[in-house]
Amino acid sequence: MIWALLCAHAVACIAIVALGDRAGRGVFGVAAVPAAITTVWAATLLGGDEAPTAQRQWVEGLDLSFTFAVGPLGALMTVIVSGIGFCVFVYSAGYFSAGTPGIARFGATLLAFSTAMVGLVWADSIWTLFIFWELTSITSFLLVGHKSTSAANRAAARRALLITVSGGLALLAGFVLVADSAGTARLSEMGAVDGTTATVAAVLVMCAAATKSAQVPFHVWLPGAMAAPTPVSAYLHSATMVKAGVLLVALASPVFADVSAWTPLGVAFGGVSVMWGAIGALRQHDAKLILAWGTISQLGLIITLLSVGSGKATFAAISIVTAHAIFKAALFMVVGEIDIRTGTRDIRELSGLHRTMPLTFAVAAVSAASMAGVPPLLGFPAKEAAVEAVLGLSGAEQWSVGVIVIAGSVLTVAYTTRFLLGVFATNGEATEVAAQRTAMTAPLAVLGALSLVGFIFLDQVTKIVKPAATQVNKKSDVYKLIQWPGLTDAFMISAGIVAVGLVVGVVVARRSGSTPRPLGARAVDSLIDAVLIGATRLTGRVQHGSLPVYVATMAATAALAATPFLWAIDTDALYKWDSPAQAVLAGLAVATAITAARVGSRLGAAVGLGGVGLAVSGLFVAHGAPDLALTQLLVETVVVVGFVIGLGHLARQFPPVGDLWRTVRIVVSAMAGIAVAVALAASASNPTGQPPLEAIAQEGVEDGGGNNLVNVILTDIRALDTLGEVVVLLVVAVGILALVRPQKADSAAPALDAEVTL
Amino acid sequence: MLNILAQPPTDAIPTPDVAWSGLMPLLILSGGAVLLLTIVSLAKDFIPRWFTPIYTVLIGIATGVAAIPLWLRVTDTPSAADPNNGPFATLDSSFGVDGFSVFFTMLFAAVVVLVALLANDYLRREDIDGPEFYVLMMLSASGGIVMASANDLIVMFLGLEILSIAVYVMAAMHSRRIESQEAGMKYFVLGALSSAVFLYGIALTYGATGSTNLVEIREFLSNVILLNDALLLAGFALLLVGFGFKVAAVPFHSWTPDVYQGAPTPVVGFMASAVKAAAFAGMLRVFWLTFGSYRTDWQPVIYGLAIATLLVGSFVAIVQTDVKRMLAYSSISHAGYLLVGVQAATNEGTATVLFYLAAYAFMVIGSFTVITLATGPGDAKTSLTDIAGLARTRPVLGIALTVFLLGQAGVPFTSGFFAKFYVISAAADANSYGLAIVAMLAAVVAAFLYLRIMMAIWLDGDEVADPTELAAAKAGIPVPWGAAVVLVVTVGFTLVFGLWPEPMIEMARDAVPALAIG
Repeated sequence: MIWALLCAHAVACIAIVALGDRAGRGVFGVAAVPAAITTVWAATLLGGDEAPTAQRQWVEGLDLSFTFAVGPLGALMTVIVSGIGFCVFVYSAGYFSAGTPGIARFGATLLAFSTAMVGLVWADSIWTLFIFWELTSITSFLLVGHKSTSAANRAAARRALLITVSGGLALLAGFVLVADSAGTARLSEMGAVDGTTATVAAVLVMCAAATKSAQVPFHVWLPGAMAAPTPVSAYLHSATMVKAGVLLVALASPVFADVSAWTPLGVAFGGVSVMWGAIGALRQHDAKLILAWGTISQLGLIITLLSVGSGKATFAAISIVTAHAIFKAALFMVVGEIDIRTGTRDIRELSGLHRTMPLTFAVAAVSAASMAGVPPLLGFPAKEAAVEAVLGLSGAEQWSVGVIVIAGSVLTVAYTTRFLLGVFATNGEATEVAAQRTAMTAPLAVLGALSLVGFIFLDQVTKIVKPAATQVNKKSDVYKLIQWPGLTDAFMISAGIVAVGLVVGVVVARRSGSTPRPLGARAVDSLIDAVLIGATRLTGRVQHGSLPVYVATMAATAALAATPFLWAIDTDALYKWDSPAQAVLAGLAVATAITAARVGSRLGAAVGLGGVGLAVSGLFVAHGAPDLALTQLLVETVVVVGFVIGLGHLARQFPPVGDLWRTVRIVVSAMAGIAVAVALAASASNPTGQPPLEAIAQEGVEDGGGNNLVNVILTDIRALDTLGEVVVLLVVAVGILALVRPQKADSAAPALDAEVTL
Repeated sequence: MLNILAQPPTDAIPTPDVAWSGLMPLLILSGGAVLLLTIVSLAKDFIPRWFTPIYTVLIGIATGVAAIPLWLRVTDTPSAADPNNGPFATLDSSFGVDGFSVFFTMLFAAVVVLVALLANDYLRREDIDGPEFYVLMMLSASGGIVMASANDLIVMFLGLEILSIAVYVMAAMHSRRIESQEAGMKYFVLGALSSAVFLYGIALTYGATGSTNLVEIREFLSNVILLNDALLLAGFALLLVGFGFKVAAVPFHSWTPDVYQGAPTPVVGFMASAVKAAAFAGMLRVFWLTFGSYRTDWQPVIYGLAIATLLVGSFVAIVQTDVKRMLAYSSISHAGYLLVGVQAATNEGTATVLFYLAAYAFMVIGSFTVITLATGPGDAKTSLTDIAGLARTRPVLGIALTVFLLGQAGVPFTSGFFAKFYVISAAADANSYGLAIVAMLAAVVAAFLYLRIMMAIWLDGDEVADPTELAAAKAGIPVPWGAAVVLVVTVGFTLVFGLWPEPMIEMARDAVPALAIG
């Protein structure tokens, strides 16, 4: 069934692309079909014990396979993903007008995202999870950048992709480490891991979750992504993609239960996000941004509760996931409808909508109340569970988590109040409102009603949530959601939260407030800038384009590589000379070398180099190797001739050189020379076995039939290498031909003798 | 001496056996090059201009086909029916034929075919057409085969020289462009220096071990305990400098951006695929296969090189504005990944390098094909703003380039994903966790680079709404059939092995290097 559903998604995707824009809004009808089927299928699994699995080997050699297992948590997430997906597809049919260009592309991408998301929640292997995780990043990038004409959209899409893709790679690194320490890639088989590797893996996985779930400081992409069309925000940024991080934390928490850094890290990410997100929501004027910042805060709460790891906290977290998906999707759809029907989302411009858009107002009020945790709505028992979970903790943990939950809830009530008042209250002249569109209103009403229905059938909800929470944490098994807890401590705290939040909300509602501070976004942008500036500087340092500097760098590095020789020289093995003639010749070589380096004219330097060669040939003769000397002389002669030909095209004198650069060149040259000398001395100190001369000499004379050993080596002993060298010569000849020929063909070309400055 | 020569041979001097079958692909490729040279110089006026590229493509295909029976033979285990199966060596143990060398032979053959198809139209467009390019490319690729098969350091050096000298000339081939000449010059001077260093490294290794033959060196190293191994280690270091230069590892990478930017674009494609592959082949043969027993000495050095290469390659890449330069830095960071695989010093690590090289070769040739077409005559329009909006004027090119960039970034369902995944798991298996994490970090930064190019071709640039203008812009970027074939093959390779990498991974695993005596 799992494969069939994934195939259905793929087929629908292809169908939409094939239909193209001429199908108009019908594309959403096609897209809704697989979503509906998947929802119904997953709904039958809810609360049951059945956990369908599917597996297909992908790459046997790498132990990569597509492995799916739809456990209770997976089923719950599927219903959320596909159910809300279905609503969003219906809603989109109302949101877009029929002739919108690129509507098919949009529909196909949205469905592709839905497919990726379904695959993600079903994944049982960490590699499968990773692949679908990356696919959601890419498809969401395409969706956010949909209206690609505006620069702001592009920047937002770029930032979103950068952060989520980075997170994805952190996830891959974390998974590689986890797979290594757990010994399996199957989530369902993975036991708890600990140790340093596991700690690093835990940090990476938590960071990845934080990027996807828009946790501070990675939250900056989410407000930017609000540039996307509202159906995208309702789907990706409330109910599904941002929940991927939460799901990851839920799935990973049993694995990292023994890693001591896991809980504090999660609480830190979550806690800061709860506060900063809620404060952000209080600052915004764009209704959609208020919701986006609210999402950051709510997700922070869920991640905090999940990382605490107590049974009650996990249970509360899964309950909030469920409630949040319903009310936040509804609220985004409300904002989308207002945007379409009034042309604005700014709460300073909207006025009197509670009169002109009564149904929308009703849905918004119910959903917002659910978000604030007011009975009789689904958000209330979920929030109660969270407060209960705090009361069940002890010590510093209770204090820190308590402050996060309670202060966060107060702020949530406050921004909810501000949202409702800002969007719907009368504020001067009433805003003009266009006609209602049924396709938009229907899914919105359904989602709005669900918050209430969920509360009424709370026992059913418990039956769904409990197995899902138990899958994450065995200790969650004993808890349930309660409609009316009585006057318990938790209830009193909840009541206090709502009261204080209302007051704060009413106070700040009509304050125009300071302009929203994009603190985080600026930080990320400046981080990017800093990297760019640093990279520019680095480029300036290492990549200046000067050939002599490159040569000097390489020569110096190579010379340094020879330093180990210094310790290998055996001073006893060194002696001055065999005959004084050698000393004279060596002195001559040194003198000509220095002359070649110091002389100002190019020809002089070439002659100096020739002198060095001659002196070395002389050394060979003095050492008793006339054949070698002969070869060397020939080579030197050819080189000097080549130099003279080449110098005809160049200026007589070397260009002047600065003092510093001159010093550097001298030092590098000296280093290279010393390195060679030291290496020779070291190899003379450490003879390994007999010198090959005797063997070669015997072989050369007897088998090769020649007394000039160099010749015998070239033509006989290593004849194959000589053949190779002939090929090298051939290459050189063809090369010269290739370089010279077009010059003749095209007289307009710049002549070679124009000096190439290096 | 003359007297000796004049005497009739009394008794035949024992000459080594030559297993011609093992040399067949090399002989076809290098012989084909020489034959082409002969044909065009004898019958210059009778040869139609399509002959040379077609001939080169056919020789490339013949080389690849000749390698297939060899591959089947060397990857099989010896049996009673075929006692000759399994890796073998010939030419007095100096030329090894094993899965590793045959794998590279096939890779070079493929590169020759693809680059010949691409160069055909490019050379005509730039008015620098001539048989020399094809001859040099085939010779260069045969140098690569020699490097991948060398069982002797001197043979390896020969391969390196044949490979390099041809590429120096190819880089300078666009002789009307001063940038191309500068590229060739820089590459030549630095390359010559690195060759000298490499040669000196061979001399030191010979001094320390008493042989240049890899089989003998390995036996020496595993049988003899050197009391003083300074000489050997210095030999390692200098050999590593030589290889490091050719693979463009930091700090020997400085030539890469300048040369990639200046050289003719198809040549850059050849350099990024074949030259890099040949250098890694040599590195693996010498270090992993021969110096394996000293791996604790060279592993840390490669570890350091890999980290420097990954970081510099990815960080510096993101501020570039020239597409060819960007891809040059990206090739540096790919070298970093490949070094991660080398550093693992396991059979699996070697297999990851082979897989990565094959995947990268096709992606990078594809990328440079699109760039060749998009940058227009004279290779002039290579800045990021010049190719802005490419995906709108030429959607097919835009999609192809996007596939290659996604592949290089390591996105799932491209062969690049498996390349990266495979290398990083090999590093993790070898307990090089730090390196694995640096590699991931570099991947994040590098992703930004590819994203910048993608944003430019998809989102930036002037909106061309007018259909006539759009048609004009399209007409400005013709896609000749040769380039079209290259794009189909490279996109196909990237996607097919991105979905179904099994055969390629199996091949890379079978292609283990061996040091056989023969």
